Amino acid sequence: MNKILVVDDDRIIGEMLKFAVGSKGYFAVISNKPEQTVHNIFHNGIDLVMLDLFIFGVSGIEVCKELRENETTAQVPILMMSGLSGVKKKCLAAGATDFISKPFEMKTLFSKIETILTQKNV
Amino acid sequence: MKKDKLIKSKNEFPVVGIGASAGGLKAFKSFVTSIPEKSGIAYVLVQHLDPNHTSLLPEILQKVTKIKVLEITDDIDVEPDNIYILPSNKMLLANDGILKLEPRPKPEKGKNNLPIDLFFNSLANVHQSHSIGVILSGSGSDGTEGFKAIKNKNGTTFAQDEASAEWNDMPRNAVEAGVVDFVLPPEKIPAKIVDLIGARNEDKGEEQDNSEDNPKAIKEILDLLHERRGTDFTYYKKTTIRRRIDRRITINKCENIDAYLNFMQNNNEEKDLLYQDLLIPVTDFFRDPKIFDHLCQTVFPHILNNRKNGDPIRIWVAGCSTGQEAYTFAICLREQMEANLNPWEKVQIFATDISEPAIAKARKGLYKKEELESLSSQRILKFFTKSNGKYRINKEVREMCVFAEQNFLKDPPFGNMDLISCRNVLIYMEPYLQKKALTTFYYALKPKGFLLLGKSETGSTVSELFASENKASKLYIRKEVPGKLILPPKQVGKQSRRERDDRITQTEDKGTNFEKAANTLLLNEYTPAGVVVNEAMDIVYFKGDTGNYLQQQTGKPSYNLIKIARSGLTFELRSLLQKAKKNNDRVQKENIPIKVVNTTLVVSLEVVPLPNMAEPYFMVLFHTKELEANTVMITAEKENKSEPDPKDQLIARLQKELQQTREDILEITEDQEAANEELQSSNEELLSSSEELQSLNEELETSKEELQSTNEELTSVNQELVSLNEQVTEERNFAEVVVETVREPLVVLDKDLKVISANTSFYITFQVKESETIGRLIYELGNKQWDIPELRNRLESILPKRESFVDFEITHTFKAIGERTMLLNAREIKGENKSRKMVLLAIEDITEKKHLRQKEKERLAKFKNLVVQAPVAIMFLKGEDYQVELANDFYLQLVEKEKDFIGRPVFESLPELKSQGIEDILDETVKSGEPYYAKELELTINRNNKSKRGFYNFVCQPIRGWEGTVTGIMVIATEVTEQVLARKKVEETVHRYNEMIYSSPSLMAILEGENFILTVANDAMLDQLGKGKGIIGKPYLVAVPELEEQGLGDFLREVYKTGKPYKAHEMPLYIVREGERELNYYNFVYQPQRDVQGKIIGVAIIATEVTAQAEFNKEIRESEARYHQMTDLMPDMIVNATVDGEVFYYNKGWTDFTGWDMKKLKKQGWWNLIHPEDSPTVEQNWMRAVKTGNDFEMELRILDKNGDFKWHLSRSVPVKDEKGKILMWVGASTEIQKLKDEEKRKEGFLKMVSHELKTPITSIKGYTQLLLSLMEDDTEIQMNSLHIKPSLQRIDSQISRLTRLISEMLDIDRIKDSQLLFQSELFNLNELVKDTIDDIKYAYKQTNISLKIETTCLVNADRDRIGQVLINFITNGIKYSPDDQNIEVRVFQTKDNKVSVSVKDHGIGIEKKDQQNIFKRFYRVSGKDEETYSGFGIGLYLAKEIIERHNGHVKVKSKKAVGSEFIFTLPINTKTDVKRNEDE
Repeated sequence: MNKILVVDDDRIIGEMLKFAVGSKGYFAVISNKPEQTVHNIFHNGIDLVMLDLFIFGVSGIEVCKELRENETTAQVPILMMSGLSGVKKKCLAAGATDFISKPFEMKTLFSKIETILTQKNV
Repeated sequence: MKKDKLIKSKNEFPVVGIGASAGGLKAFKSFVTSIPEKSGIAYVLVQHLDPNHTSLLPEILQKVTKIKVLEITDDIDVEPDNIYILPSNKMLLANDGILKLEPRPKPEKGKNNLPIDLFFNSLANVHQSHSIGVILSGSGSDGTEGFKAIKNKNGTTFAQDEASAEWNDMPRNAVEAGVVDFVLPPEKIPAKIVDLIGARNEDKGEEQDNSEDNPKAIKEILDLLHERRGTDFTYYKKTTIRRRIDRRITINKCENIDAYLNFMQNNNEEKDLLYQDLLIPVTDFFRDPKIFDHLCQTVFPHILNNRKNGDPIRIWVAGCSTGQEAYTFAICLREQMEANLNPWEKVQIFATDISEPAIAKARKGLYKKEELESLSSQRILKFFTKSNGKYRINKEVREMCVFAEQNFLKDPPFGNMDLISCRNVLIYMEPYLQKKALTTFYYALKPKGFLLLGKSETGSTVSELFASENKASKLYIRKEVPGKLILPPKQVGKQSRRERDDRITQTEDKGTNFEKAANTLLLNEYTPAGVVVNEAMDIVYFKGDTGNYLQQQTGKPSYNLIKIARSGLTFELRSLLQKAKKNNDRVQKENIPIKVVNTTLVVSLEVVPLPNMAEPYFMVLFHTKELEANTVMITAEKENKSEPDPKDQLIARLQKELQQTREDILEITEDQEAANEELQSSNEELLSSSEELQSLNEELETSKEELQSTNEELTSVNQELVSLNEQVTEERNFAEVVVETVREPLVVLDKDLKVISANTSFYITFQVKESETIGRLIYELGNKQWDIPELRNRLESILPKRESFVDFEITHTFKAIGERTMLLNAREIKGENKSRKMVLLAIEDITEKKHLRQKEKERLAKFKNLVVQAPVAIMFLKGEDYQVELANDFYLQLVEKEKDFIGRPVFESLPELKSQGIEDILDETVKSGEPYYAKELELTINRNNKSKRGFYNFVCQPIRGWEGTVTGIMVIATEVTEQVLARKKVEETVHRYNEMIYSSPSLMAILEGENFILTVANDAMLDQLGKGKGIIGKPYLVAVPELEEQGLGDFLREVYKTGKPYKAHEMPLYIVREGERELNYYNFVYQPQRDVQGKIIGVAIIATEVTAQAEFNKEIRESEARYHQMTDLMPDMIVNATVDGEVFYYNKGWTDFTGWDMKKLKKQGWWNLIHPEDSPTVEQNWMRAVKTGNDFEMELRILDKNGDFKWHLSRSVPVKDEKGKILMWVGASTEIQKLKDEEKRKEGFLKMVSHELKTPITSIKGYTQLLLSLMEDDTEIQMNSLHIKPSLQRIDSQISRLTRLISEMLDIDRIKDSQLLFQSELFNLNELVKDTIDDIKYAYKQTNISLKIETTCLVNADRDRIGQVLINFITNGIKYSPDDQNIEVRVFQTKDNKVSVSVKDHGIGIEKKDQQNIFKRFYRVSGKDEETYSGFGIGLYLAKEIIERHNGHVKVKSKKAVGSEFIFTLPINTKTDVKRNEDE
């Protein structure tokens, strides 16, 4: 079972995503502490990180870069998400595997997750 | 030549180098035209070309010939029957059949590029005697040096003849240098070359066949030369001789050597030519300069320092050719001596050569410039004098050298030389002659004298005579060889030479080889050992093992047979040799016992004189018998006979006695030997003296003969003298008679100016007696009455300076005859012998004549002086044709004629005057006899071929002759043109001046004097003053008193005093007119007036009334002040700028904001206050506004006084006149910083709001969709909650709408600020359309959306944004179609190759008036039921913005109540067309 780490400062979105991906057969771990992401990935054997581009507090971009620079997490796929428009490029540049803007269609989300994980497994 | 070593050619065909320069094209053409098509020759053309110019030569030449003409590229292979041309900017080197190009070097200072020389040089080096050079037309001397090189290698040379050459310097130079074989016109050269080569090839064929015959023919040729020129070339190098002869054969076109022999036998000219050809005259100044450096540094100082006082330095240059080397030595020595400060040491340089013309040239010492090239310019300057374009060696150097024609191999040598230089002479000789020459030099040199040889020559063949001093310089020192006589090898006579030749031919005969082998074997195996000795018994040859007979003794090694013979043999050998010598026959002696180590040998000696030798040589042969048996027998006998036999005793005694005698003889012999040796050395010395004596004797003999012939000459001369003497006596008598008879006094003086003789006339004229005269000094004659210092000086200068004087006039008072003026003529006469010099003094008394002449002269001079000196132009005319008798300088100047004007009829020189009435005037004067006066008569005179009009005053005064008739006319003339013209000019100026004053609309007046009298005033002025004309002539300030009241009097006085003009601008003045004060404004100038000397004499007034203008200006000023006041009150910042955009006014708002004062603002300008990021745009926009006249508006940041930039809205509008012409710009800037700050806050707020809104929406949407999907999965729930699903769907769709609204809200804000961001990507438009429709269908299930795709294409755009537009269009369609749920979507290609997407509905439609506005921001179509159509009214506005920013456009077609069609169009897949905004 693939494990997905959801990093978002909005608890409700986290729960919703956990529920959503759970319905598709993934196991989700929710975190609203971005500074613990590396630790989380390492300890939970994460297959995919869904990372919010925070506006307040720590920037998702920084977290993304950190993940890419850390040897243990460099290969983990990261799906970044945000309600801000015009940030996709920035996220991809920081090392994100893909980007989805909030709010999203569930269909779109699932298809992206599936694609990423398929690619990873290949 | 620098880099690559030249490789000698293996080419089988000849290469012809052709050089030309100026005028070469024509010559090239005629040359090339006449080259036969198949000649088997390659031609290389070298021309002087402009390095910067591409040559067209190949093209030009190709036109005239069928042979291939090629421009040379580097490393081109040379092929026969091709013509190669040197490209410009390159130098050419020939290298083994490959032509090599080198970049043309920059010409050295003062040296020209000589590409032809360079090429010929390499051609000669590579192709040797095959090289052929041709020099065609050209200036300069390029090619000559190259020809020398070719000649050196025995090549053939051609030069163009002078007649056909356009420029013949180059060919002539070569011809003069004597290195040209043929001189021909260019068209004949190719044929000649082909002929020559043909002849040469035939020669080659025969050469091998005839090689056996050649020596004989050559010898005969040499014999002929020997006979003709006395020089024996027999031992000259065969190859050289053969080559030289071959060349003559080729040139004379003889078939073979025998033919040539026949040809030359009776042709002395050819003999001489061959002779000169054999003597190769090649030399140069400072040839091999390193050698001369060495000589100068070490050898010359050595010679100079190591010699006895007064000994001259003697140098012999043997084979000096044309003398350069001899002069080089002289120059070196001169420099050396000058450096040592003893420049006049005696130096004798003997320069000899066998060639007569060479010596002749050397003697002249005249060289061409090219020949001096190896000399530095300082040396040329110092040692040469230029004469006739050539350089002559200076006397001091020339005198150091003695040139003589001499054959040092034959003629007696010079002696006692310090140095002998014989360079490049020996190389032509065979070793035999070399040895002979070197021996000769050995004799000629002083002990330790120096010998200098050529580079490839060596003195080592006689290493016993010379030791090498410096190998590199080929310098040798004469060795001391004490007591040894070195004889020059005797010249072997013809006889023996033949024998030797025969012998060589015999031994080379193959048929007798076995015989030779056999002989050698026999000689080695069976002949006894022996030696060959000469007369002095020195061994010259050993044969076989002579160890048993000869033994070297302690001490110096020796080759003397007697000295090294074993003890028992000495005596016998000596006597045998004596005998053999005496009888010249074979002698022998047998059985001589000698002791060798422990054995006794019995030896037989045999001495045989060698036959047929020039000197006596003897062969000594040793035969040995080893008689051990005999010895044994003797000892046995001794042992056997114990008793001494009386016989034996006798024998023993005799033997003892014999032994004794032998020892005595040995002793005597040794003494004799010593004596002999002494004698020998004496003899040698004697011999050498005798040789020298012999040569002296020969010289004496010739001298004697010469003396004899001189004597004979003298006798005949004497006879001639006797007859001459008689003649002289006769003539002397004749002369004496003449002298006595002439009227003029004549005196002959000796060198001390004592009278030798005087004629009768002298005695008579000066009343002196002969006895008082002869033998006395001329000054002492007649009580020193001849003591005239001037005469004395003159006379005394005659003899030393060899001068003479003619017609020396002298006036002197003689006591006896009073004052006399005499003409004296004197000159030196040479007496019978030169030492007796005399002076002939002839005297002519011209006292009377002079007196008369003087008077006449004075009279004439006075008159002439008068005329000439007169400061007016005077001319005398005489005769009917009015010939000019006299015209003074003034007159000549007047008519601008030369002196030749005088003496010719006046109208011949001035024909133009004839028609201007002058002839009539002259005729009238002659006729009437009355003078004619003309005043300011206008005449045209030709001066320097130009007609000049002028005005003249003149008088024609008739001159009367003796009888009172008019014989001539005196004309006195003055030119007054300038005066007349000046007067006329003044008149005209005055006229114009008055005209100007009176007609001027300005007010003008002139005041004179310090009282300012009004002398002139024009009508305008008078009107203005309003006091009538009566004021003219009155003082101005009195006549117009109100001016004085208003202070103008002070200004006037100031101007009069200082001379500085006073200017007033719009000065208000009142004038009293008819009793009333009238105020007007005036511009005026008070201008001082000066006379010619510059003194101020008055003041001019020029004034204009400017009341109206002044008042208007005043008004403007007031208005302006009000305007400024107003603008200053405004809080905005106002500027005024000129039409060109230059700001000339800033209001107070600016100074308040910037903290700068007005001055600083104007100086620095507002530009410098603009934020650097804004200023380029501001400048661009402002310039555009100024250019187009459109309003300027933009937001920009301006620096305030606190150093912060504040946002401003700046506007500028042009102020135009009625015609629309821009007068100025008015600009206003309003601070909008607060607004900006607000905006920024708003944006931040919106961003935050939208993000905050999106967060809950995200979860709501997520859950809704999850629920929906759960319901679809779970049929149970679906069944039970039929209402839940549609409710959820509605929630979902509303959430989508909410999301869109939030996005739009943000977008609209961004679009306003141009901050809308696009992320372009390449995608398939159809896919986007399909996906979008699917999404919408999901939300609007009841709607029927049809899709029609007519084209497929990729677009480069922001996929999401385009999707957004499409959603907008479709949802709008759905929204506004409440009744018909059919939406038609169509994708199609437009005519202009773009792609369009149309969305058509069948809804309510849009009214025409609204169609314009629906794309505007916040526009909403108002309807009855507004709630039906909710929204911000920004969807279409956004859609339009998005599409337009993708370079596309949107369109709407609509009809009220029928439906609408919205279309957007985009460009197809061209990435560059999409504007791409950068990410934040």
